[in-house]
Amino acid sequence: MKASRRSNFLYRYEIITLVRQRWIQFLVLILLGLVLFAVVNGKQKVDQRLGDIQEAQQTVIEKDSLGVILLDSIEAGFTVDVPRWYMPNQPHVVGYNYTRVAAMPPDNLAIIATGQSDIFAHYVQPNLYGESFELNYTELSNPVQLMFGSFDLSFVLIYLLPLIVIAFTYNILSAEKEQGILQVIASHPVSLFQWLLQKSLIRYLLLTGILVVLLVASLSVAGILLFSDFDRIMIFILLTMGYTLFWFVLACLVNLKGKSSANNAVWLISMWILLVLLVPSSVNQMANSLYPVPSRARLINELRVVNAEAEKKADELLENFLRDHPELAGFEGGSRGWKEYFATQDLIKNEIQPVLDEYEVKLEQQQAWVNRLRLASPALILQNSFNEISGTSTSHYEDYRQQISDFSLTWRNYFLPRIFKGEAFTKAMMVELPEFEYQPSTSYGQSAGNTSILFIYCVVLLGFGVVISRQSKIIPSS
Amino acid sequence: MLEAINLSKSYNDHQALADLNLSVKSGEVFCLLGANGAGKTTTINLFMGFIPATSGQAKINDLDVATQSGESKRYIAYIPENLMLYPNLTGLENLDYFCGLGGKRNSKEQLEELLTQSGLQESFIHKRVNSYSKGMRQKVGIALARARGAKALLLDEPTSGLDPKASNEFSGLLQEMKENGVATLMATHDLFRAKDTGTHIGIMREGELKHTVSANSVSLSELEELYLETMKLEKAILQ
Repeated sequence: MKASRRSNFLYRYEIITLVRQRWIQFLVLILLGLVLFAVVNGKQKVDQRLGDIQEAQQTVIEKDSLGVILLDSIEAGFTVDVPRWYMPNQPHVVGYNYTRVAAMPPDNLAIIATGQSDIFAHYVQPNLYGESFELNYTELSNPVQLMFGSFDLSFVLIYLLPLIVIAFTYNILSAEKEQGILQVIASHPVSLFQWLLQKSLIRYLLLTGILVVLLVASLSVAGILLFSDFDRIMIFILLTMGYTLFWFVLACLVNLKGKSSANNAVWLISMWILLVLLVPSSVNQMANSLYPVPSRARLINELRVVNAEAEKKADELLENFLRDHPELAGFEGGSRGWKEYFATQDLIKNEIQPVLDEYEVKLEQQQAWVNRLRLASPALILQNSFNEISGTSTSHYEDYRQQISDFSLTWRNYFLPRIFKGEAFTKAMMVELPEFEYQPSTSYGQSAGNTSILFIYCVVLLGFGVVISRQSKIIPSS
Repeated sequence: MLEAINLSKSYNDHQALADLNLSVKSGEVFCLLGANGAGKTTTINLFMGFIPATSGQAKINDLDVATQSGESKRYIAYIPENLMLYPNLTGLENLDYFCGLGGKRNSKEQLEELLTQSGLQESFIHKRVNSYSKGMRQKVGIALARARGAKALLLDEPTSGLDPKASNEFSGLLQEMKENGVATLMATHDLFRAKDTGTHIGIMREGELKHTVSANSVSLSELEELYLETMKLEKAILQ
């Protein structure tokens, strides 16, 4: 009989054996429940995020309509019964009250991993005054801080899937040994190691088959456009398969040691605690200890000191500002108070820049550290990749922050000349206001490479298995 | 067909089997008698390649078990004291599965016939093994040996725990296999069964084969006397 025919034959009976066992049916039901719950949970979050953004945009539309009506009346020469600080014909009023929504809409695959979306705002409305945008966003968390958070697909796959794999495999060899069936198998002309590999492969294919169908079906039901993101979906599935394979191979290695099923279970749970809980949290702790982010209190304190200093010498600062910006000098119109305010803002920004830079550097160092040490645990590799695929990674939010920063500047620069020149804001200008358009990051970072790393880990573990099987023959009796 | 040449096995300081020499030809049934720990199961395990020999050789069809394990197993079938099968598969499925492992494919009808010939009731052929008695599982083992066309049979106390009827049926099946030229090495405690089924009987004590007699050359009472004499010697040595 050819080897392939024999394999098909083994596959058939392994599947029949598995299907007839109640605990397998129970495990599949658990998996189904977990995936569905995670998808529903993730979808709720994404919907809430979309709803918040739409609500903010609707408010802007309504406000704009009101502004146009007011401007219409003002331009027609009517007297409008609105306080002076709400009059939309003043540029600084529009710059403050008629802000645009700078939103980061959730990615098509955002329901896979909450990632950093729990701690960042998804829309802001930069205006002319107040703290600069950066101040609200410098207290970034390091990339693994929220790993213990949401019950999303990434949580199910990273934390709970290995437990299901362990339940599926902890006795993949020891059960036959303890039942005495292994003796009967060993009496046949078959290599027990190869038989174990074939048996594991069947179980792996069965579990991943069920898992992939569950994932694809639940994502489709949740409204995810699978074909529009086919490459990212494929990476997501390959990562899941690689991670599952890692735990399967690990279970085979533990079984090869020839201990009892109970012993195998203890070993595998210990590995789960180490690789899924301890290593990621240690990397997190080390990142915080090695590259501590400067205190936010210090930043606010410095800001207040600089603000107070700036107010004292506002006149002098305005002169300096106009010297640096000759295009804004020589206009008599507009409020001197506002001109002084913008002049001091420049100084404040320059003064606090070193502290902001320090934040940036520390955060980059933290992220680089975590990125390097992701190789220490397949769980970290997977979290890193899932966040990238879902558009919820730290780098996605950094990119968004930069886009907002640029838009803030565009918004400010649109109004500044008009304020300094004392120009009136008109209805025609309302449609010319700068708009924010989020440019999503198109790279998935390291996800593709991470997939390869997971499979390399599996090959290395398998190599260990071959060595173990050669060094110590599988003893078929207890 | 089966040959042990100076076969020895020791665990640390304990000599489980010492310089065993025996030969079982086609159509012969060699029964190993002895108390617990005499080395009977060790002998079977060495022939099966489950454990490595400390020294000497175990040969099946002139193939050294230690160096040609896979090839030598093509000629043998093994039935332990308590043959365990996959409880969630039927008798027929178990037979099909293990035949497949041995590289043999049989049709469903052939497998059903083999099971029936081995004494398994037809009504149980398609029932899951978790409802089988020990005797029924042993019959599946015999069917497996037949299906594989085994030239040698290694049995480790196969009738232990069977009721007299089942034990008798099992002996009948062995007799049939003997007539078909199968060489059998059987470890047993049952003197009556050894005398009834065996062609040669070996009495083991402390890892050594103390006596080998032809089953035809001794009566049951003489065999019993020889056995007890050997055991008394052991008792005396221990005292």
